[in-house]
Amino acid sequence: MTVLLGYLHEILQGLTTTLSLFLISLVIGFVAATIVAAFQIRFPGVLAGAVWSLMFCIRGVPLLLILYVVYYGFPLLPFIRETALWTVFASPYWCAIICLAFVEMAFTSEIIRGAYYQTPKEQVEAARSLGLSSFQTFRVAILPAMLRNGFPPYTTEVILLCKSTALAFTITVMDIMGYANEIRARTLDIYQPLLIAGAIYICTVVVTRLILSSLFNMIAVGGAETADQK
Amino acid sequence: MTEGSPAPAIEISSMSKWFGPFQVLDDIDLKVMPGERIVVCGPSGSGKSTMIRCINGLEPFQKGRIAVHGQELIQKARTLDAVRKNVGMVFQQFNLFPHLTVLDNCTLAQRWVHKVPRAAAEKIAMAQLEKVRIPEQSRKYPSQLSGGQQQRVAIARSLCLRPKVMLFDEPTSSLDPEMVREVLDTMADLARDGMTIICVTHEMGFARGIADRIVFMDQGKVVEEAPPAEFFDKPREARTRKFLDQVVR
Repeated sequence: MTVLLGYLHEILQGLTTTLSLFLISLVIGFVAATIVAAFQIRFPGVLAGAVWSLMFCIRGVPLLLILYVVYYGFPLLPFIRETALWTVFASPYWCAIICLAFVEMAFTSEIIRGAYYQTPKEQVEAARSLGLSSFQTFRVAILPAMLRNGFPPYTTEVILLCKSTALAFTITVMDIMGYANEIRARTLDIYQPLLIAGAIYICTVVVTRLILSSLFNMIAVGGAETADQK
Repeated sequence: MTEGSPAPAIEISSMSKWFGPFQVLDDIDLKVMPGERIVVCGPSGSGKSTMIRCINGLEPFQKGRIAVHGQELIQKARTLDAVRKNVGMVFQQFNLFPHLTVLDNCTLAQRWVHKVPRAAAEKIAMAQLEKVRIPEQSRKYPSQLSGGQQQRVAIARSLCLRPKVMLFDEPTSSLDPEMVREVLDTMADLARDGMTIICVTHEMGFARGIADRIVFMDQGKVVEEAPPAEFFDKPREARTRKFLDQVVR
């Protein structure tokens, strides 16, 4: 038992790293996704098509591969090695964040786009027929519908991201997975450290879900989901 | 405009519209005077909904002209806004904003478009909700109301902007049968108050009781236009008779 508590204590050292990988890449990924999706919606055409194809490719490639390209490949490029970019890409931690955010952007932008195009056109027509401007129409008709439609898939995406942070340990980042793996290699205890790490990930996911669903209920008042509330 | 006669509320002249190669409206002419109540009927696909959607610019048209209280409809944001200030629209699917309460649905455009302060907007909204007989529901969300109630809120929401013309696009078509009455009664109240109304509907009883004129459309054309008595009892066109045989017994 004391051994297990010792493992737990050691593995928890990686919690801040895991959480910061998760949250920082989540925020960067979301902001980038919003810009990418807004561009595709606002300026449909060849360029938007090119952006979509790029996002499609990013979604189609394993995260691990992107991580390796950035971590092992970028140092070979002179314009990264010899410029200020090197301060970022020399750090495995920031390499991991950039890769996670990059992939998160590709998935989230598609969720945002999907939510936008699911907006019932009747809602938009109602707003226009009341004389609302296009920005006002966006605020009252499109954005709430996007939140209603986009939140469930986005929750799934956020949870996947939370677990994807574990891949960072493959490029020497000491997160929860990193510590657990270190104990496994050192002690040859296999189940104990990995199961403890698994339990920590589950707790993180549960908390994330709770936060997201309360956020959703806060925003989407009066929708079908909360029909019984006053 | 002829000498001495008042200006029409809505004037549609030789208006045509195409969806791609398919012509949905063919040379429509229609003049509606202020306070007149027009019912538009016809088989589905005849272009009646499309026509009234053109009147407040929800659909563009390619030929002809439409003027609402002298304001010509051009596909430019500013003129569209000017026209929409005079024209209220009620849809088949109510189209209330589900995340806003009944009251907020009614005050939103007043506050955002007409810059009415919140308190004054709520007063106007309550007066209109009173008129459609559901003031007690003002704090509820649309999903908590029946279809008939939602449609009456949608009517109140439009009325809050003091439109000169009300367009109804099959307002009772998606309602349970026992809720049709309450919506039709609300519309009849409006008609009695002198509102200019154009209503697309299959409710022939309503048409007979309320309308000043009935416009019958088929295949994008106005086939016949007559006062209800004449329209129902001695229709001129064979196509109208065939339609009436189907819907009136």
